[in-house]
Amino acid sequence: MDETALLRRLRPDVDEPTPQALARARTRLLDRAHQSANERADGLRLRPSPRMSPGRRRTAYRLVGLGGTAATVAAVLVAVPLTGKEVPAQAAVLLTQASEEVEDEPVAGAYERITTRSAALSYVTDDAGGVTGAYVYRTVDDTYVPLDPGQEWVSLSAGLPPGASYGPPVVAARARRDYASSSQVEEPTVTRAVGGAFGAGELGVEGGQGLSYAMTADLDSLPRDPEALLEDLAARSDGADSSRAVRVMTQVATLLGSGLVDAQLTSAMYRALALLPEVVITEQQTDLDGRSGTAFGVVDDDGFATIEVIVAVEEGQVLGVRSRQLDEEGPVPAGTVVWSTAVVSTPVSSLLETASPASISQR
Amino acid sequence: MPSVSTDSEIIARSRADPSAFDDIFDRHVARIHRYLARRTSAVVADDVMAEVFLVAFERRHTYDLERADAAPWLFGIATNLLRRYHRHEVRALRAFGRSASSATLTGSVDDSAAADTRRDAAAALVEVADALRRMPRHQRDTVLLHAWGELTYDQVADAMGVPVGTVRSRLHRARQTLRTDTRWSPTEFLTGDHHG
Repeated sequence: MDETALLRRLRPDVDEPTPQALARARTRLLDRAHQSANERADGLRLRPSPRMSPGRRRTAYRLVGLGGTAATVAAVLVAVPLTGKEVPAQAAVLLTQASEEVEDEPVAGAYERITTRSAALSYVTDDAGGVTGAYVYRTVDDTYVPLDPGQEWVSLSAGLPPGASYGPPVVAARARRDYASSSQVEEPTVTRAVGGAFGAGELGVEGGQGLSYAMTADLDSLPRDPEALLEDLAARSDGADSSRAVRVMTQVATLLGSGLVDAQLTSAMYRALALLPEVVITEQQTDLDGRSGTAFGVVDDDGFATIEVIVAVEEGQVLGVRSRQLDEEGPVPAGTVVWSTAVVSTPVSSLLETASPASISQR
Repeated sequence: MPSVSTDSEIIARSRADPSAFDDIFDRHVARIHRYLARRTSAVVADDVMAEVFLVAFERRHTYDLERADAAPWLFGIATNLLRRYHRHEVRALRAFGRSASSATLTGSVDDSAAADTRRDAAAALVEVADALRRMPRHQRDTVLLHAWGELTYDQVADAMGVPVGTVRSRLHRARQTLRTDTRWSPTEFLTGDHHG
């Protein structure tokens, strides 16, 4: 019995909805539909509820691999140990320095194109659940944010050929087969949404509600004061008993990995991390998608992996986020990146010239 | 023979003719309710079910019409709405563990080895429910969209707005948690099935 069958055994049978409940639900829906039809007849324009104010930016798709999976740096991999008094102090110094350097790029085009290149490790397991291999699944997303963010945004998403594989040759073959069967191979997915209110990824879009973490829809409302920001993020919960540092780092990584955080909030996030003694330099100099920076991170509560933000300290620029597993898992060595997202923002003058489906796969 | 409209065609039609959205309700309500009931209770599911389709109706203008099947979208909305019912879910998971355990223990037992197996399986179900309760929310959502929502990996990815590789990684982590934090092992349960 695999874990799916096991979980289904936990809840094998549930009651069907009662006819009364079905009737009530349908009536509520039809009442709303009727009201909506009347609004149309009255000449009122139907619009989706704005999830983001004009100042807010894109959401959902970019939140790749974050939200709680932990990443980590094994002691053998990090340049410095994850314990000790000096290391957090060094992290705080560099994060503070970065916070003083970060600044918004001047507006130079009709659109800001935010490119996120993401990678996530797909594990291959045997029938007993043991890891026999893994391969890197890669995607690239371009989001075109208009100068007036209240106008239509365009997003292109494409799968990329698989990256490194671990284990026997059959793993690489499976990676190629998975990629070939991906719906995004022949033509990248193009989505458009006024004000960046993309419909897909409902969990990401609404993640800021209730018990869940801050997401990009919350960017405008997050405090710009580092201490207040730290308290705000620490007060949020993912519904589990994650530690304070992991909660804060997970949210900061999620938000910075979206490429949508403005300079003022980015600076506040660096300073908020500097206030956490658990945040250390996990790699003094590292490379992400061809760019070099310093990795700051924490070890997730289960000790499986790190959660890291990679920053070009001298420019204060966020290069991306990642997670690395601490221990060896079958043929997958300790220190392997579990997921990563590299972020690049570029001003572009024209949407039509640059947002062709063919262009994204080649970038 | 008339062709059957896809969900996206119905949703497109509902933008001009709102009552057309009723077809989306008919197609998906049973599955959505079953998923909600598994995660909470039939009573909560009745309420949230109605809300799922109201939210979906309000958002039909932002639905990506390239996606023929609306199920991942609806399950994403349902999962998001469940966050308001976190306490219900926690209580339900405690109860599920106990009731599943009782069901496993019920039945004639004709030898002591079988009885031991049943007791182990029953205890493991309690632990599994507890492990689910303690999982990070994103991981629990991923697992339960797949196991109880009966979505494919691609559909779970679509519902959560993450790459399918991330779904696989999360499921792997969940599997590890279940093996580490519970006495469940595939072999023992397989044996338990044979006796069950």
